[in-house]
Amino acid sequence: MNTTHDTVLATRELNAWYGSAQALFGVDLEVRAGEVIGLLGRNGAGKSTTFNAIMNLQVRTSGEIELTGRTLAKRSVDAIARLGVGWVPEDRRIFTNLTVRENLELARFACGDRDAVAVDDLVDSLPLLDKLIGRRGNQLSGGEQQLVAIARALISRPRLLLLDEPTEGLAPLIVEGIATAIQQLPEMFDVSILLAEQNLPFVTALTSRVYVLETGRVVHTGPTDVFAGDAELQDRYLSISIAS
Amino acid sequence: MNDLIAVLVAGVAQGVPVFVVASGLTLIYGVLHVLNFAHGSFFLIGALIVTTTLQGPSLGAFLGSILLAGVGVMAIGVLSEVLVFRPLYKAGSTVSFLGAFALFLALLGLATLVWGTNPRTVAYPSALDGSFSIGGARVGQYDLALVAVGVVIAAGLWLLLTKTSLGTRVRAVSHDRTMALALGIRAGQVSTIVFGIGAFLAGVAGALIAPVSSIDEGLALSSDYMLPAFIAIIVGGLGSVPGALIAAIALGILESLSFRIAPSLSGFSYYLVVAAFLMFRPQGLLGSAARSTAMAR
Repeated sequence: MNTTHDTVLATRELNAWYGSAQALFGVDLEVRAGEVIGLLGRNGAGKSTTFNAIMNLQVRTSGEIELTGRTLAKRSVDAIARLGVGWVPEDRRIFTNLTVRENLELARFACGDRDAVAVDDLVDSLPLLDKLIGRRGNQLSGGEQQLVAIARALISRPRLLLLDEPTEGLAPLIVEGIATAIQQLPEMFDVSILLAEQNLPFVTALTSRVYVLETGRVVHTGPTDVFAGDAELQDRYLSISIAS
Repeated sequence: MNDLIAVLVAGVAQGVPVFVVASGLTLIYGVLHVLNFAHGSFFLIGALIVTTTLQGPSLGAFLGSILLAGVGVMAIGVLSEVLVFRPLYKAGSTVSFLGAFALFLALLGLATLVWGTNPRTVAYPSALDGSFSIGGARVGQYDLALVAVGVVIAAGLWLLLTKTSLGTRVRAVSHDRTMALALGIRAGQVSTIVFGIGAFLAGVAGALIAPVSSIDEGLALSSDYMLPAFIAIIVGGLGSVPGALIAAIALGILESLSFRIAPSLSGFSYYLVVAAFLMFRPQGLLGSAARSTAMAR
């Protein structure tokens, strides 16, 4: 695979199947160190499937997936997480039977205390967590759950963060807060981000490049501002309301 | 009043071994989603190990035998999880249940081969072979010791599940195995440990009832212990350890009361309760309507 020395994630000819139904067709992606990259597309375009393929969740795959030069294909989900991929799923999947602190500590147990971010240091970095730390997962609002899900994924110091539609179902004010938090992450935690979204203004504010998916294929790639300024491209591949 | 105290203590004492078995069953169900039918044979083997290892009437010797029974059955449980259940998880819960039933029969056959079919008995430890008077009621020392053991095990499980990193991992895997894996948790390792703990508890429960029961292969499906344990995890809510505790103790007291008040109902009371729960609250006392579990809620 041709990658540069600062490539964090690279996929080449990535195909994925749910049973016998193919959902991804030869997807090539590259995320470099410190980048926040957008993954755009309509519902069903293959954004979540791309994340599932990277995490080896629910799908059968072929092609190459590398994280900092190490192949991820065929590794187990937990091994991929320990290698440095943090996954924040669309539905957040907070452990509602655990407190926020326990949700955060879980990832510490997985990667070993020595390598992990201390929970209290994380709270210092993301002060909004402070008032949530003792609450149970089932006592959090959607925005609070999103913040905890992102924080939980950061505890193990991942090299790559997969954020799946973090604005889904959130009020505009909360979305602003989430955007501010995401903006700070690459520098604060030395992490690169692949952000799957349908909210174009959100993606425009946060990312430098975008990949656009349609029916499981990459149909456009380039600088975010070029895509954001091209109404015809947006109409063709997103056909969603740009105002949100 | 005297009668009531005696009935209550006897009921709780009856409920403790049921709770110890049921807590292991419900832990395993919560994490692995397997109703481990083989638990009955773990329970029997725990009792049989005591009949072989107990040397003398001292309390120390009895406690040592209990520990050996727990550890021995835990080893069998860990091997069972690795060799029998792990290959079956992906095949679904029905196949896993059939695997558990096959393991039950195989271990029962093995126990018969090793220990024979003649019923065995074990004497009470000399320090607990007597009775107290509490408020004028005669209460067996061994019954009181069982109540104390129940308190210790319940507290130990609560501490394990709520105050340790293993407990947090157990609750997370029980709640959402995929997300736990995606955070890097070795869920397979957690499953093996939980299965080992569940088997340990079954072995300890078998050892605890050794002095109060005739020990033969019928114990593996006994209507005094195993069937009530299965009923306790349904009534308590599948996957809930506190639910199993409440249900096992309540069922023990109910059985003790019905034996005293309406002997013709004795033996049926469990089934009346479980039938009522299945009709009106199928998720049990502390279970949720969805299948999510509530191990230490």
